[in-house]
Amino acid sequence: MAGLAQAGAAAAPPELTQRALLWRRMRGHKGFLAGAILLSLIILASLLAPWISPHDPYAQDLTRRMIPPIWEARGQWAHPLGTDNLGRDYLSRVLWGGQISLLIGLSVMVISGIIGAGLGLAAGYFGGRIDLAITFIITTRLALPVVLVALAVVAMISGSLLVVILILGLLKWDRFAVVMRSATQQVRGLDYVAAAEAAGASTPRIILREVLPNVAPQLIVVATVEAASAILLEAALSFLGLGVQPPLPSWGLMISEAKAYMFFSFWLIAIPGSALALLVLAINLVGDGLRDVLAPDGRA
Amino acid sequence: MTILLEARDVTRSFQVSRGLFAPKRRLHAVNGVSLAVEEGEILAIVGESGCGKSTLARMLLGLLPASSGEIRLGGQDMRAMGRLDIARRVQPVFQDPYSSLNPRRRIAEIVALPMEVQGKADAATCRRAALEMLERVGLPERFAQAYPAQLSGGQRQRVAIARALVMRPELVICDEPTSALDVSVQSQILNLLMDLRRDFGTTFVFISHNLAVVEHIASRVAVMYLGQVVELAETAALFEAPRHPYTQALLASALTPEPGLGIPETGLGLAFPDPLDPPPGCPFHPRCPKRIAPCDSLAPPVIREAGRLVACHFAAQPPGTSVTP
Repeated sequence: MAGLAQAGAAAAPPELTQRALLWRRMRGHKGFLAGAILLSLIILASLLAPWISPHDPYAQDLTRRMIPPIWEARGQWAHPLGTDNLGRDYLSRVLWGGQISLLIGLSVMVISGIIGAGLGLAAGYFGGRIDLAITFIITTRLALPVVLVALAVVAMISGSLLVVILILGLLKWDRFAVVMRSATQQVRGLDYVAAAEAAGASTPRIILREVLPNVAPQLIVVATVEAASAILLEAALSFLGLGVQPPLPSWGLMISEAKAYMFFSFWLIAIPGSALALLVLAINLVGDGLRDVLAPDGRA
Repeated sequence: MTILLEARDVTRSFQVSRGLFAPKRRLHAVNGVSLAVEEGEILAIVGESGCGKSTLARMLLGLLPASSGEIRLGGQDMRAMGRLDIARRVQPVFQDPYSSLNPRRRIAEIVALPMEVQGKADAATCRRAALEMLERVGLPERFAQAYPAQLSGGQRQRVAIARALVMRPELVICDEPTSALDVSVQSQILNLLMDLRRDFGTTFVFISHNLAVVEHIASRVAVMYLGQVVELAETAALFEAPRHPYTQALLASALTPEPGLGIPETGLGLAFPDPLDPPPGCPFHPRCPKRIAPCDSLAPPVIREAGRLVACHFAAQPPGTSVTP
């Protein structure tokens, strides 16, 4: 028996581990590389803000209002990105503002990811009535405009960083749920799930160990997209005065405060705007790259 | 012979929705199947695509509850048994080894799974059992840390077999275990199954549409058509003297290795009936070359003699009677 069995099994598996393969694919993906480098720079700069920012982001100096950035004629090295209408150092505010954006992106992603992925997994795995009920909840959620809900909530309990995170986190799970539901439905029908059932594995175990790892690539991609969109929404809410309240240095709030000076001091709006655009671009590049890189066996 | 697994008049139907406002219809995938699997035998189930073989297999595995009828495992009703009890005694080998192994887990973990979920052995014991079982199916230890994507189809099917047998179940249900494999690998896998059967004394239910394989390995054969067993007999008897016209056509349709003979004519025509709207009487009558008067109105009688079962009006007639279709 051994001889015959060996004949069919002779070829050794390739030596490359999955991790090494993943690493190699990541290095070969230009978009992912660009996004990852940009994103790490932004994260690093924001986290190091307490040490590298030249001034206190809240310190006002009305004698030094509206100093333009150094590439303008009247620029000063003391304020590389100039100062705003209250004389606060703009570079310091942009760096600290990055922390707020990243905090919001991350926490909204986690909260909405847990809600959405849980609902999507349950709907896709169990199907039937549970699927119908969850699909109804998703549809109901999709009928609620985020900005209107934010308006109502802020009107009742006034805006703050925590309120923004909760509003976005409790509302932005719809895409997680939709994507996880269809990805789970696909995996649910595969034979390895049936094999695990036939082996007697419990339902939570099958969902966590057989299904979840195989829908993780889609989950990660949605998570990056949602983080980027949460950051943009926070900026939009803060711009409308519904989000983070002054004097916190949020990028959206900075754009809002600068809109009155847009025609004479355009940098006030252009600098936080560019920071926002770069961060969202970086996250989306990383997300797109991960989608390509994480496809199992290189098959997209 | 003791009976290990017995299906009694098992039916499985599905609700089929044909749109929002159309009434739902019932599809009887398996319609009143009774069969018994005896300890130590290899019972083959054959039939064309869509005849309900795989649905029956899922019910025998306890993955799908029967709509009516009961399935008894070792004399006990399966519905009353726990998932782990069934799992310890019955295990599957699926058709497609590319979808039956979780691509995110290592080979040793996949093989150890049935033992691990029983929760009676620690991780080291499970791993040792998995490695031992991998060795038995011809995969040396270096495969243990590999992922399924690194293995060929034949190697993957060996892994699936190792997983099925790691708990030494009494019954293994193989749902077309070789049909997704290269011809050169098929015989290796079959020989492996037969070796393991001899060593472990495992009983097999072997679902296939490859008649050559069935003739080679099975001890008894059940022929299914449109959710029903139309003929059941010892392998030799069935292949020598098939009694149901469908079995006869099925055997006649098997390709011979002789190229000069061409592709055999089955005389069945192309029309597999719509399972949503099965023909009245004998389900096979619209395609049957030996159709007689009662076939299109009355369900065929089930003839049982000498360990054989045939469900057919024609076969029920005394031999020598002249028949006008």
